[in-house]
Amino acid sequence: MTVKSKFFLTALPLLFVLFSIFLYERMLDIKFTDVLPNISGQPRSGIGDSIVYKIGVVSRFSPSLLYRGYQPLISYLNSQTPFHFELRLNKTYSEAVQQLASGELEAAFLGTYVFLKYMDVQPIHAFLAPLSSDGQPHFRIVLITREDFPYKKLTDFSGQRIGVPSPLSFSGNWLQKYILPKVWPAGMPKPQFVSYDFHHTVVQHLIRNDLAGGVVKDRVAEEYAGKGIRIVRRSRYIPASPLVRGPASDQRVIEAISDVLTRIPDRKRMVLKEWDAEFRHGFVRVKDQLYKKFKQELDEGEMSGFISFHISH
Amino acid sequence: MGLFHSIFPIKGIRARLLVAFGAMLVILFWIISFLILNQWRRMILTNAEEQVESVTRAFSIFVIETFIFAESNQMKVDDALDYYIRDYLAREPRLRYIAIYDPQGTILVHSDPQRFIYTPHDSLAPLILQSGKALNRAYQDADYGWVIESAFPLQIASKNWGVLRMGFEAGSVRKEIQGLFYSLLMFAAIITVFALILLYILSGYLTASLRKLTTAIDRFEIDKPLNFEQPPYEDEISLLYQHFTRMQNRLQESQSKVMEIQRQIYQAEKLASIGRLASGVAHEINNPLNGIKSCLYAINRDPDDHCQTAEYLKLIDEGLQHIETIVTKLLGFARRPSKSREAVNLNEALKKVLQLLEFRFSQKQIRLSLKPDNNLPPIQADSQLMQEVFMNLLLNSYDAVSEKGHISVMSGIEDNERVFVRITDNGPGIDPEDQKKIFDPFFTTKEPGEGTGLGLSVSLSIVQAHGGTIEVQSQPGRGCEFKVILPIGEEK
Ligand SMILES: Nc1ncnc2c1ncn2[C@@H]1O[C@H](COP(=O)(O)OP(=O)(O)OP(=O)(O)O)[C@@H](O)[C@H]1O
Ligand SMILES: [Mg+2]
Repeated sequence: MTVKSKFFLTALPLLFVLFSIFLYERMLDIKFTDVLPNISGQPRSGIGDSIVYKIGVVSRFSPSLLYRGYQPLISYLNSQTPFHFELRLNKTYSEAVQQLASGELEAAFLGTYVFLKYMDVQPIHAFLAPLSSDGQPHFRIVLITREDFPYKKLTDFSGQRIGVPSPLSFSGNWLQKYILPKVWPAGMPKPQFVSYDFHHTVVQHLIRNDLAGGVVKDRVAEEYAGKGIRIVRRSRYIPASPLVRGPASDQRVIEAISDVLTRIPDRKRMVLKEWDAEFRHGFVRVKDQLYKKFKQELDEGEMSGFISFHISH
Repeated sequence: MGLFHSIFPIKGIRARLLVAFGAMLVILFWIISFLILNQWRRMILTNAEEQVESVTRAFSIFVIETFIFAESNQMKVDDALDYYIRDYLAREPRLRYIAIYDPQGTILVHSDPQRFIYTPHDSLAPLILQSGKALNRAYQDADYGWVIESAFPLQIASKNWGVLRMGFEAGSVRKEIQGLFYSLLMFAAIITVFALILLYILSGYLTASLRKLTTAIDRFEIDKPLNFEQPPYEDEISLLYQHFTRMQNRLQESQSKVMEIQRQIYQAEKLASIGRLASGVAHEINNPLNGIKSCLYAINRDPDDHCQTAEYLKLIDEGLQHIETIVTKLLGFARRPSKSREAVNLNEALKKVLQLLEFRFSQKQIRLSLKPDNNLPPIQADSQLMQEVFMNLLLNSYDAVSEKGHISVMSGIEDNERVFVRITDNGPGIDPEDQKKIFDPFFTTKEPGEGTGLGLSVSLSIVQAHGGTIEVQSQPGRGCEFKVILPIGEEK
């Protein structure tokens, strides 16, 4: 054996062991740091303004979900107006109405049902309403069944379960309070009404076959088109849930909000996609008159078809 | 190949090829294992990172809710969070710490009060909020050991609450990689050992027949077939075997040719010796014949002189007797050499030859001294051929010495194993150039017709056939010495 070969026969395994150790060390050194993307410009938040204008919202959704829907709109207002707005979560509608009246809230999102209930007793005024897909500030309530349910007339639901959303909404009251008392034959067992927190939950339970029928907003029902449900009854048009101001609201601020939200330029349409589904089609200015007239019609019972509403205080 | 061969001193071409191939295979396998290891390591790390990020994301929703809850209820957020964080930490064994910083990077809550004091500021918080994405890292901490951390922005649209940092232990991730490393190392080592063993067996199997062939060649004898089992398949070794057998055949052929020529040379030498003898014999016979002739002439001229006639007749008788002896000896020498072996006393053989040459020697007045060893044991040999050898050597000495020259002949025993006969003369000797050639057939320095140059070559071959040798020593000008050495051999 030559000196050279002896050298190699000892050096090779040694080299190999050293390499393995090196590899081992390298493999177990799991240190890493993500690279921060290179961002130019100012932070997005406009903190620093002296006055914070609070906008109230009431919802049964969890706060973070609610923020996901409403905060983009607030952020848009912050970026487009010289004012600084913040969301304020209210536990109840009455709390929100009270805070509006006291001036704690600059504005608040209220449901139509709730606004009609409080508009005469508190100094609050509707000034904006979201548009539906047809460009009007209104919506309808619909009665839905599963596609395989052989619906012909309302009495088909006799003794069946019908899902409804919150009792503080028109949808939650429409069939139960305003329709059935007028049209249901005496002596026939009424349908059993089951309350859910959200419109979507009603549809989900209907699809799952927990219910025979459901009552929801037309927009929600349309989301589920082609997923095993069909609409069997529609209500007349009902004014959309308004954005409401209180007596002490700063007119400039209200004007700025109205101005920005009614004139969203086409190039900014994209931002609407982030917003709550309710606001996807933009806003229009409204007056209390719209709601007053609707309430009058309700009170008089002059509704097209068999639909009639009663507002009880 | 030079470097390779100095590293692996392997002789066989095929074995060398196999080792090179095996080494390449092993290296390839190691590289593949390394690539697999690297890939798996990346997967494990990415997976761990994603896990940490998703847990942090999920927890961030809860933190945001708490922020909103605290805001709408005019509560201090750190009070609300502190309890939940410690509760969550206790229920999540892999979680090492949770820290929350406000949008400016000032610490709000830390699961470890010590840390709250020592890391009061997170300079990255504004940047993370600005990017809107989680910032993950893995690092080694003095207290927590290896940690994978996700820094998650607490943010909805432009509303920023701060940054949530959650650190999870990464020791188990490292253990996983370690396990992978060891198992791949083991696997690679097993494969290597397996490949080497296979290689060893294979190369041994391949060279076995080659080794068999070499040992067979070592024991090879020209006239016997090679004791080698030819491999059943056609390869280089069977080719080698075939060529070797062919060479053996050619050797056998040339050997038989050599033997044939040798036989012819014997015959030619025989004839030549007889010719040379004949001239001597003619000379020897001529003298008595001349005497007989003159006796007969005298008797014929005076047939009545009975006294004279009786005297001449007696002389004639003597002359005839002399001729008779010569002829008898001649006959004895000329008998065809048989290859028979018998017990031969070399002294006897010497004496017979010297008797034949006696007349010649006396004519040239050569002084002959004979010192035979009387204890010389008989050897197994052909007596006729032995006589021929001595005859040749003595004739050479006869030719070499001048008038009144001196030839001495002695026999003896060497080492109890060999007998020798030494013939020394005081002729001119042989010059060193010629000494190499004198045993070549037909090498002669004598005049044409006087020497054939066969004497020594035939003699040597005879002696060698008896297992002996002929040694020559000569000093030019002083004479030379030929020593025939023969083994005593066993009595058969
Ligand atoms: N005793 C000697 N002294 C000197 N030279 C010798 C002697 N013996 C042999 N030689 C040399 O060796 C040569 C070869 O000898 P060898 O006996 O083979 O042939 P040769 O004597 O020449 O012929 P022949 O065939 O008649 O014997 C001789 O020619 C001679 O030159
Ligand atoms: Mg001779």
